[in-house]
Amino acid sequence: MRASSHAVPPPAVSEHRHRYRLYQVIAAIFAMVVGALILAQPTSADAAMLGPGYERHGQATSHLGGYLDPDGSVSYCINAGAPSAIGGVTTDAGLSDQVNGLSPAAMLRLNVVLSRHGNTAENNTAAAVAMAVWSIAGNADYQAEGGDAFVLGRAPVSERAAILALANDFRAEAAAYIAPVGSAMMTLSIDPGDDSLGLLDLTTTPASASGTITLTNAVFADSNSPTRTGVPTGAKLAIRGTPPSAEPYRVSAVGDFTAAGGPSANVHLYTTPGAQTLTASGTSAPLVFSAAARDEADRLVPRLTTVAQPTGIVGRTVIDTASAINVPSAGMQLTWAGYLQPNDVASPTCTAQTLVYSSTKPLTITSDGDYPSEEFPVTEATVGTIHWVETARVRGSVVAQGMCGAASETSVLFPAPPHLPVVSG
Amino acid sequence: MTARRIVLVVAAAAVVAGLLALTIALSQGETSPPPRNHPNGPVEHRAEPYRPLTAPALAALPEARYDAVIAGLVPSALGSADAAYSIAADIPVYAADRKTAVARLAAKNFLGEPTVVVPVARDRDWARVLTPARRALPSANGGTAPAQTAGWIRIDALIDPVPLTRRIEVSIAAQTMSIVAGDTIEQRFRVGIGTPDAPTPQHVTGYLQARYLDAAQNQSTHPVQLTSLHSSASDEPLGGGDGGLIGVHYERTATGAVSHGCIRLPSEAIEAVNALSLGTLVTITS
Repeated sequence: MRASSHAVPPPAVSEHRHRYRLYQVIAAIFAMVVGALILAQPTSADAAMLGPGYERHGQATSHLGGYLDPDGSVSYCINAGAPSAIGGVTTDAGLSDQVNGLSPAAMLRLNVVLSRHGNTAENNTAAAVAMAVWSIAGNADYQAEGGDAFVLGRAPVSERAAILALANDFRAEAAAYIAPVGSAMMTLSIDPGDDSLGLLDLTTTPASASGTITLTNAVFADSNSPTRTGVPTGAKLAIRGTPPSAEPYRVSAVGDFTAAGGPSANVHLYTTPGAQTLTASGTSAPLVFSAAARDEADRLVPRLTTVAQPTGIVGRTVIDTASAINVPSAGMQLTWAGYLQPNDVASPTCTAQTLVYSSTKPLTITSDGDYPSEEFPVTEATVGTIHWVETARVRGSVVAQGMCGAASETSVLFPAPPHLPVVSG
Repeated sequence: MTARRIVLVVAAAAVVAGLLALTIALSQGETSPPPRNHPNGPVEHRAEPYRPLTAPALAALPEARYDAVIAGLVPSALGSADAAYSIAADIPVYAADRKTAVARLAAKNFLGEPTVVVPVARDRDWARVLTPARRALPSANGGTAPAQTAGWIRIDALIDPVPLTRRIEVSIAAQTMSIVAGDTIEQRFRVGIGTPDAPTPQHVTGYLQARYLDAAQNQSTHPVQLTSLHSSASDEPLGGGDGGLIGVHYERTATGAVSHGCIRLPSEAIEAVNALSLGTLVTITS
């Protein structure tokens, strides 16, 4: 906006008060208009109006502050010395990442000032934003017009120092602004007493970030789900491994996080034919970032192999011996079940209907080794082939189990042998 | 005596004689022809209808197995048979009167195999069979007891006949064992027999009731051939409690009076016996 080209005496005090009330009224109206425009669909082309700020002698062409755009936003002049947009038809020209040939860094500084301070109804703030915008968007022209000293002449004397201080703050803030970068660190730890357990720790920057974490080969212990949303920084989540096979495995995790970001290097433009371009705040980009973690060591899966007592006879007992490896030191429970099938059955059936032996209580073990089952009595009712299925559980969950029909896990039970008569010799 | 009185006496005598003749005639008409293989003499027919035992009554009978002593069984001496049989289910064994059930023959023997039943006499619906049990212990019977027993069963219980084409004849005096087919001695072996203190029973016919290997009796190669015979002189010549059983078995020392009553055989002899059918008769003579 073009600055005044002629000398203007300082305004009288009464005039200043009168204008001050007028500005208060205008500010109230501005607030109502902004609210109404938010609720109502704005027109795509309309006249811009004076917004918060000051005018020398009430002249709209010597305004220091913002303008109310047709869509209700507060915009500012970016072409020092260009004709005022007041009275023309202003059109929303949309977002632009290029104004006045500014560099991306300058565009970012411009949007920092506009997005952080531009949408205001406060006169001094609006005046300071206008000064900062001029100096960033076209400093050469701005200085040629007289710079801060010249435009401050449009503000009341009593406000000029404050306005200048604010403008300097805004410019310094914009110059110092560094676009935020998000990051997250996830770590997976293995419970020393049980490889299937562990913790996932999350730390994010910024701390306000949260996100979704997805586990591979594990679930979150409290939900049994491999995915959790809304995980905040500082979370310590218990996990439980879900081994894909009997082989050692590792748990991995990936997380996608978001946080409030900062201004982007763009601004919103409003153009008025024959007048200068107005600019308002551009967009704000959220922070989106990812992180991943993986076990640093293999998690070992408990394994069971067994050797059943090959034969038994009625009146005696039969046992099945389990060899357990990778037993968690926190403890694992073993149980045995024996299913009776006729001899020479090709495909044995291990169901409740064929169950004849089952452990009366689990055997808790805490280290690798060979563990015999309890001694099961052989009776006439159990004559045949016993197919053993041993089961290892940790905290009630099955972590290893034998297979019905495995070759080494059968006991053939016979009737008691007859007494053979002893002849006299 | 007057002539009238003489006539009356003669008439009465004639009536009595006629009734007596009629009775004899009827009695002769009811006598059955002698059955095959009845060396123990003619058997007496009982015309009363047979009434099967109830299952509980049958189950309550003592089993006529190798170690049983059942007084109601009848002694059996020499005998012959042409076939051995099995039975489909447990059956009662009757005493000589064929009315009194005294024992039970189990369908399966101690090995779980079909019990071998050898009839040595038949009488219409009845057969007299040799049994594996004793009827008395020598110690309770004046120092001697029958080595073989028999009893009567219903003949229709016999199934699955196996012809007995050969028999075993043991001569105590000659200390030999022969395998005989009809009148032909096919094989003869020198064998070991009982000592004078534990003699092998004589003048008796038993049968091979079972055969089995038993390492506990040092018989891991050649099966013990268990006969139905028992020591007639001692309850248990070798101790134990199995009934003083007379076996036919392999022994390295298989000649002379060396056993506790058993017939000890060399390997070729035991192999020959092992080839015979169960049920084959074993006759021991002096």
